[in-house]
This record gives sequence, structure tokens and C-alpha cells, in this order.
Amino acid sequence: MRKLTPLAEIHVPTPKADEWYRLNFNGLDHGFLGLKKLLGAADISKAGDRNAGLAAHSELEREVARTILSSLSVQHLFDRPLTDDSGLVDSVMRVNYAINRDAFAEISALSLGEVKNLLLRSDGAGIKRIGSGLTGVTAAALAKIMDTHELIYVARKIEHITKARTRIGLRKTLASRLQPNHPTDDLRGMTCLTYLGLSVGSGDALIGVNPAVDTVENISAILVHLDKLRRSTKAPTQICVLGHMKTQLACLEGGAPVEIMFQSLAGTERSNLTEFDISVELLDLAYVTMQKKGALGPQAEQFMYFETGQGSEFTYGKHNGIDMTTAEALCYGLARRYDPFMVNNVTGFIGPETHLDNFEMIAANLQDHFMGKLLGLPMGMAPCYTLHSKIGLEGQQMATELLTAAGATFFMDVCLNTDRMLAYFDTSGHDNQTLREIHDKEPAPDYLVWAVERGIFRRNGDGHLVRGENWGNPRMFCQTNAELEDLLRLTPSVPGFSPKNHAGPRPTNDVMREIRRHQAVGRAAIQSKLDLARLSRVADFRVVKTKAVDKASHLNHPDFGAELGIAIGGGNATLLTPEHTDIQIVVSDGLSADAVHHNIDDLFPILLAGLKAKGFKLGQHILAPYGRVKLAEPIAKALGTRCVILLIGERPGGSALASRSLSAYLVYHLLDQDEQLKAAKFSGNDDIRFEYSVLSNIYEAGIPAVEAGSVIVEKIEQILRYRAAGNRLESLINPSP
Amino acid sequence: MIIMAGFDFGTTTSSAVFARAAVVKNGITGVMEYATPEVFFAAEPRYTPYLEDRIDEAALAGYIDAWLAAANINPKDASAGGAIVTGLAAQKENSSMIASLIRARIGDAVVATANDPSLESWLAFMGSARELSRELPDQSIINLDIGGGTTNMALGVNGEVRSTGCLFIGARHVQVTPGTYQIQALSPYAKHLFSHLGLVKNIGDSLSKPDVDSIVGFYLNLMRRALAGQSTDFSDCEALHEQVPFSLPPDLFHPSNRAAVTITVSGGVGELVYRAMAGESPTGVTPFGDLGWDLALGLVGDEWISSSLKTHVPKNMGRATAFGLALYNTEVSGTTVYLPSESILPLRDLPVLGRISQDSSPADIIKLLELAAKSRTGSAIQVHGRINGQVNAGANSAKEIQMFSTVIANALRNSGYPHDRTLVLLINGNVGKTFGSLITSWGRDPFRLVVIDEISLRAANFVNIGRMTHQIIPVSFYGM
Repeated sequence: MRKLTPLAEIHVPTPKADEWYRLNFNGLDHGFLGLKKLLGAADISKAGDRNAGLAAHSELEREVARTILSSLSVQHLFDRPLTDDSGLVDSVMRVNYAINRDAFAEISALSLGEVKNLLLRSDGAGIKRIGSGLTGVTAAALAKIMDTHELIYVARKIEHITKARTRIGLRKTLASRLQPNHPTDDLRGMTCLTYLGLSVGSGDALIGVNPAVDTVENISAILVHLDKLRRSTKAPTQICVLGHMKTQLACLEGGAPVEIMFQSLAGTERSNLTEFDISVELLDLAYVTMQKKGALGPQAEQFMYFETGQGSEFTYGKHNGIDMTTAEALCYGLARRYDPFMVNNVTGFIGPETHLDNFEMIAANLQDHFMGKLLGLPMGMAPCYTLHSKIGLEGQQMATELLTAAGATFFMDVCLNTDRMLAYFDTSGHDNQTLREIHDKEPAPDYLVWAVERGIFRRNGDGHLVRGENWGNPRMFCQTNAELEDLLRLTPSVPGFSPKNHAGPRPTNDVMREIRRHQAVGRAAIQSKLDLARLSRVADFRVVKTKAVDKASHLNHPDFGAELGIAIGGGNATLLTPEHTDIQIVVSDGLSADAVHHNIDDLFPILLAGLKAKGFKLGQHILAPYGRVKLAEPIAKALGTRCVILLIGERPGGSALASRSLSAYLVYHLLDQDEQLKAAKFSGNDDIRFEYSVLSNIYEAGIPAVEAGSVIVEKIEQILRYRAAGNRLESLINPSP
Repeated sequence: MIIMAGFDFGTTTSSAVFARAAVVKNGITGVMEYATPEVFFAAEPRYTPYLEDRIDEAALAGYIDAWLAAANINPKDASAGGAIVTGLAAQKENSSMIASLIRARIGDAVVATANDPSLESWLAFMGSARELSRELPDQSIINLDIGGGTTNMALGVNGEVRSTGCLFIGARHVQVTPGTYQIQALSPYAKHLFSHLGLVKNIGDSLSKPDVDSIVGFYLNLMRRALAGQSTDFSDCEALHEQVPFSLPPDLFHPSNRAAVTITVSGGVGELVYRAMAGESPTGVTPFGDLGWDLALGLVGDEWISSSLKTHVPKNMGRATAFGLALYNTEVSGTTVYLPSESILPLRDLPVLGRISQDSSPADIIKLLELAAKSRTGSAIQVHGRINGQVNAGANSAKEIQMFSTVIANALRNSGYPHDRTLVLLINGNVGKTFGSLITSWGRDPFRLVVIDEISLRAANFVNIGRMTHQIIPVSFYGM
């Protein structure tokens, strides 16, 4: 177990003023002011860095930056800690300076180019020693001057073995984290996905669930359930529910089996504090608490689990002018402090605003994997995508092939690539097995013994591990066929899962075609545009523009859709003048215009009938192409309306039907000072101006549009009666005893 | 988590089962349902207490209290399940009072009923043969729940009951001194049977082996004939023994189909059948003071009935009805219902007056509402759409719902439906709140209307509707 060095005892050099980095090449002068700019320009071009104004504008500019970077010494970078927007060293940067000073001394005088050469010449142990003397910033700088072969070649030599209940990270192995997420946290659905995953040899790193609801009660219940599944199947692995660290600590105090402590990390203190609600102090507390009370006790040599991914700091607007790769490396420098059992990188999860296409995602994954392993972390990789980016299954698979070659510790098993809760696409158990067979890898050793006993794998005559007769047969974990049928019945997006639905380690063609068709429908829904002529027949809309001028800017700049643009027919939308209505209905495409088209005909007549019957004063309905949820706020402000009903298409996931899913955001405008003060007190946010209640899943298999109309009317009536929305409204309707 | 309770007070024995389950939304269908109920208490059956010709109310109350205490639950916490008085116990004059007694002790939502043979057949199938039926979806499963007084028959396919029937065949029509065949008591049905068979035996007389064989032979033959659909040819005595005719597909037992039919047995006698098949035999004769073992051995020896008994064994046997009650008798509504005030609930023992759909004529709807108006305690009507029997978004547009609700609203006004009389509409689709809102002009019309959705259509005469908890309402049918 590691003893944590108090933050105050970590020496960090005093930041220096930005200096110019210049190079004359081919007769032209090039210059970069400050390390942040230099690091940004040296990277491959990625959407997040382009949007942040950090990416090089040309290949020549990038190569100049790389040349300059290569010439800087390790000491040079060490002496110039990157600062936050106030010019201060934040806590994440400080933790990054907790390095092996002896190892640092051995290389501090070398240029980055020389360190790169040294890495390529060293064996695994040598690379690890070098890595122990590096800050995240230096690791990122190295990643930027390495090509694909080099990122793979160096990372491949590093072996990081960790042990919780079981051991992972051995060179010969490729493990998997089974992720049986369910959209409603239905324990039966989780059971189903766990059985499916175990049957294909997944879950040797971890069975871990992202909960839909982050409460102590819910997470404890899921932990208890996963523990039950682990015991009943006897699978040698560990379990985790990926709630917030504070919730998990409360679960642990309550006696729930918290075997592994999870937390998402960002690379700046501001992102961690304000978006993830964590600090180094909290992370320290969780680590120390787990040392004393973790469910695995002393058998676990490691017990922390972190998730990271390029771009979160940029998305939150809290990247301190640091590029995505460097911010990601800073996460690793923070994670290193806690000697984690596993780290999972989910670059690609956010969307096109950070990684636009397959190349950006693949290259970023290789960088992340290299940097994480160099900094001493057991790196699992989750090259993933959402349907509104230009990343697809082929790109994801190319990434996994390269990352397996690079020696990734584990991949995710999201059954048939479709996460049913988070509406994104990750690697599957079939992918893991395919990679194991192509790259001659095995599951983690303890798990493998069990899997051979269960017939999931077997050794053939020449000692090679092959799929056994029970591979892909979840029936072995069920008492009856009916039990399995019931479980499958509850689990979305499982178009076929039985031995007959496998072709080698892959799903059969029929299954893949169905999965891909659903994805294609989702992508089409995202690209769909509001049919203004058709919608004008539903109601008399006025059209309002957002700042997003077309589909591409809408998808690539999420903030544009939250701001008013110019109104069609001339005039600025800010000319929307105060109308002082009770309610303003706004219809927007969000991420699926199809969702609007499929629900509006049945929802609108009921909604309008109810609102009129209740006597509310309504403004003329607004149609806002390329809108986001927060668009409700400027509209409410401009009109002075008390409440906005925003009907907006949800982000499509892996189900064609669900790509028609609409949400109703009921946005209460805190016009009254008394109410604003009450809302501020309730939320802890002094600047709060709006409260939100949400009705989501308006579609055939959720809440039918016909029914949603009256549900919205009832909720609006409550909002205006209680003068509150969201959790505050619920607390007023059902006051706790 | 909710507590589910099942109490079965049969001719011979009584038992109780308690389970707990979470109510969750099915991630695919969006329908609310119980998630994997966990049975945490199943009482060993005890003899049903009688005091002369009545059920011993005090002793029975003691049973209930002891079970609740042993299971460590507050009786008012039970919000699903039910209690049923069955077989010959249901023929006792105070059986309906027993139902009231039970209801006073356990939760509001819980059904308490007596003499409901079709419900009992349904429950016994669900409690014993459902899982087997799910496991053999291509087989027609007939479960015979044979207790002290009745044989409750149910045909099910893939876990769904298709038909029910009931015969007054059971172990306890003839009660004898344990270890002998000396008659202690005869049910009215046994007296008729003796007369039919030419047995001249009275209380105190002993039955001979041939006497017992002829009684058992009559029972087995009657079962076979009921299964073969020969009830129209029943003799008077046979007809007397038929409480509910068992309607089966005519060619079900045709030799070419026989392999696709599996017969299982449950109930107290059913349990003895499987014990006998496992090689057990009674110590002496009539250890329970009835013909249970004789009937069980007769069934085992009946090749036609017993052909599948060796290969297919259902669950819960003697406690099938209690399991069925606890686990399957209560449905849950959707989360968006039309309920003007939660204080309207619970609603007990509402008569289910009939069904209406979009195809019903206004005159038919008015007629039904006139009938409903006469029910002082309120009543329920089942509503279904014209497409696959479903009223839901897939089948009904806003326009259709608006038109249908207008027809009902007009019918309520035109029939002069009293404003203070509760009317419950039970709909199988997820449109309850909108339907109720439209019918009542968004609450402005003064009708005391409740619309509960996502409730499947059931052939039942009564419904119990519990209190709303966590946005859902438990609904239990009985009187089938």
C-alpha cells in the first residue's frame, strides 16, 4: 500500500512567464508563445484542440513545433509547470510533480528527442524507471513526437501487473471489464448481461456497472446484486458500481461490498471540483478509507479504478488553455498517486466536438495508452463513439487491433457494442475474444482456470487455448430455459445470443446486420432536419434561429444550439420582446428531428388541450432548428415567460425505436426574487435562474406521446402552483417527514 | 420493495407464503412489473381448523398471526397477493366471513375470497406448473390440483392459463379413523357417490378394499372423462361432482396430439402422488384419516393420467395455490394513471361489469354505465382497443383517443351517472392519464372517475385496487 505524500510536501517549481519558442525553417520564422501553445501545435490535429485554437494550422507548423519540442530538455519542461487561468499551479499539476527524483535526475538533462530514443532502446524495466521520473506534461510531450509504430512499440514493452481479488496485466493476457449497464438499473437486465459476458470469457478484470441513478440505496443494491452474481457463478473477478466517489464511500460505510473504488478524473482542478465534484483531498480520503475498510481487505494490493478520456476539460470549458493530450496525461499523473488496480480510457465518448473522426479517435487512443503505461498505470482502453461523430465500428476495431498490439491491459465488454444506458458504442465481448485469438492472448490466469472448468475455454492438443463447448452459452448460468428467456426479454438490444448466434468468436452476420441497421437509423435520426412545412400544419409556429447555422456546426459546437441567433424573416432573435406569458412551448430537433416528427402529432393536441383547459396564457409556439436544452433559458429571458416547455429530440442510441425518443424539459424561470433565493438555498448555487423538470423517453416503448401530453400538463400545473421545478418541486410536493 | 402474501385455506390444510419484490419498469416494454420475487417465508401446511360444521375462526386467526409473526412482517405491509378459502372449506356456512376476517388482518390490496374455483385452478397452475410450462412452450400442460375437497384443473401453454375447470374430487369427502377405513364423516358429494355406487355404508361402518377401489375408480374415471371433454354425457352423479366445466380443445387428447400434452398434479394429493412415484408408501392405511393415499396410488396406477408424471414434476405441489396467490395474483398499474385524489383508494371488491372498446355503440356504453350507477360501492369496466385488443400509442392516435373519450364523456352525462359514485376504467395500454383527463374535461366535470392503465384484460367478476405507492397501484382480480 502506498503512503500518500501530503500535497504541501510536493515541490513544484515556481511558474515562469510564457516565453517564445522560435525556429527558422526553410527561410521562414515560426514562433509559439508559451509551452501550452507549443504543446498544442505539436499534436496531431483533433477537433477539441482546433475548437480551442490550439491545433497547428498546417503540417509544417506542427512539425516545427515538434522539432522545437524535441530540442527542449526534460528539466526545461519540469521547470515550467502549466498554470490555471489565474496563473497558479492547481492541485492536479502539483500531484504530477510527485515523481521519482532519482529517476528524474538521470534524464533531466536529456532533450525530449533523446529521451524518446532512449525509450525506444530500453527494455520494459528501463522504460518504467524513466516514466517514474516524468510529469504528465513531459509524458504528453513525448507522445506528440512519436509516430504510430513508436507509440505501440514502447508501450508494448511495459508490463503493469496489479492485483485486487485477482491479478491482471500479465503480458500474455488480454482482460475485459464487463459493463452490464441497464437503462433503468433493472437488476435482472444486469444479470442477463453479466451472464452473456461471462459466457464469452469477459469480466476477468471487473464486472462494473454505470448506474442510472446515483443514490446510496441504488448503488448498494446493485453492489449486493453483483456480489451475489459473482458468488453464484463463482467467477474469479471483482465488482464495482461506478457511482460518484462520495456515494460509494457512503455505501461502504453502510456495509455494501465496495471492492473497487471508482472515480472519473479530469486533468484540471477546476474540472474536477466543479464538474466531477472531487478534490485531491476527497481522492485521498477514499484511498485511505479503502485501505482500511475495502471489501477485499488485505488480499487486494490495489483497489482504485479511474476513468479518463481526452476532451472532458475542453468540453467543460475548464482546460486552462491546455491541449487535450496534455490534460489527459495530467489525469494519469493524478491517478498514479493512488496506485490504481485499473485505469480505463474512454476517448471518443464525448463526441465530434473533441474527436471528429476515426483517425482522431485512433491516434488519441494510442497516445493515451502510451502515456498511461509510461506513467505506470495499468491501462485499459475503450475506444468508443457516439452516433453524432464520424467515428464508427470499423475505426473502433482498427483502434483495438493497434492497442492490443501495444499491450492494452483490458477492453470493455459492452454486449454487442451497444451500451443500453449511456447511448454510446464500445467494444464487445466478441471483440475481446476475436482480439485474443488474433493476438494470441488469454484471459487473466485465475479467471481462466474457472472458465476452463465451465467449458468456456479448453486447451487443445498442442496446449493452445481455444473456445470451449460452452463459449457463448449463457444458459449454463440459468436454472431453466425460461429463466434465460425472461432475462433476455428484459434486456434491450440483444437481437440474438445463443451458441447458434456465434460464428467463431464473432456474432453471426444476421446479428451484426441488425446491430448495424439500428446504428444506421440512429445516425440518420441525428442528421435528420426539422420539416418546417410539415410542422406548420401541426401548429402556428414562429421560427427562431440558434447560433448554429447548419447541422455540422450544431453537432460540432454544442454551445451554439444553446444561444439565440438571427430569426428567419430578418431581425435578430434577441428582438423577441417580453410577452409575460405563463408558458412558452419550444420545439427543437436537439439530436433527433425524427423524434419530433414521430411524436408531435399525438403529443401536441393533447398538450394544447390541457394547457388551454387549465387557463394558462401561452405565447405563440416556437420552432427552433439546431437547438440544445439550454436554449430554453435565453428564450425565457427574452420573452419574460414563467415557464418554457422545450420538446427536444434525445441523443439516439442503439435502438431504432429509441432514436424517436423525445424529451420534455419543463424549465421554470425564477423571475420572483423570493423564489430565486429559495432555489439558491436549495441548490447551493447563488446564481441559479432556472429550475428544470424533465420527462424523457417519450416514444412508443417509453411514454407514448398521447400519454405524455397530459403528464406534461399535470407537471406544469404543479410547477406553476408550487413555483418550483426539479428536485425542489418534488421536495415541496412530498416533503420529507 | 413490496410484500406479497398468499394464504390458502383448503379442505384439509392451510398454508401461507410471503415474498418480496421490487416494482420496476420493463426496459423494453416500458410496463411496470414485479422484478424476480423472492419467497422469504413458506409455512408448512397445517390442518384447517374446524369447529363442528364451521371453520374455527379463532384458531384460523391464530394461524395467520403466527405466520405473520414467524415471517416478521407487519400485516398491513402486504400490498399484493391474496387469501382464498377453497374446496370443502369454502362450502362451510362461515366461509365468506372467514374471507372478511382475513381481509381485516392483512393489507388493503390483498384479495380475500371464498369459493372461487376457477381462480383457484388458475392460481394452482401458476404456483406449480407455470415454470414447467415456460420450459416446454410447445406442450399443453394440464395441472390437476387435487386437495381434500376439489380437483382444480387448468390447461396452460407457455406459462399462460387457457382454460380452467373444477371437480368435487378430493381426499376428504370420505373421512375415516386414521389407520382404518372406518367412516367418520361423509360429504354431501360422498353420500351421493355411495348411493350411485350402491354402497350402503354409514358413519361407523368400515369400507372394504373393493369399496375403496370403486370410489377411487369413480374419481379417476370422472377425471379422465372431464379431460376427454365428455361432460355432456355425464351421469347425474358425475354432473353433481362437476363444479366448473373444463373446456378443452376437442382434439387435445387425440392420439396424434397426446405426446404434446403433459399432465401434472399438485395439491396435497398431488404431493402424495410424487412421493409414491419416488417409491414411498404410507405407513399403514389412511394415515391422514382420509382417502388421500388411496387416490394418489390410484393416480399413479392410471397409465393414461400418469404417463408424464414421472418425467415432469411441477413446483410447490401442496402449496401451489398459496404460491400462485403470492406471486401472480396482483398486477401493477403504469406510473401515469388518472387519479383525481389518492384518498379515493383503496377500492375493495368492485364488481367488474363488462368491457367496452372503441367499437362499442354509445347505447351499449350507456347501458353499462346505468348498471354501474346502481353499484353503490362503485364498479369497474375494462376498456380495450380494436387493434390486437390493445389500447396504446401504437394502436391509438390522439384523434382516436379524443373521439373515444368524447363518446364515454357523453355517455356519462346522458346516463345521468351519479357524481359521487366511483367508476374505475381498467385499460391495458399506457394512456390512463390522458384518457381520464379528456373524459372529465381535464378534471372540470365532477365525475368520480379513476383510470388505471397497463392492466391486462381478465375474465373476472371482481377487482381489488390497492393504495398508490411509488406512483403505481396494485390491482388484483377474483371471481373468475
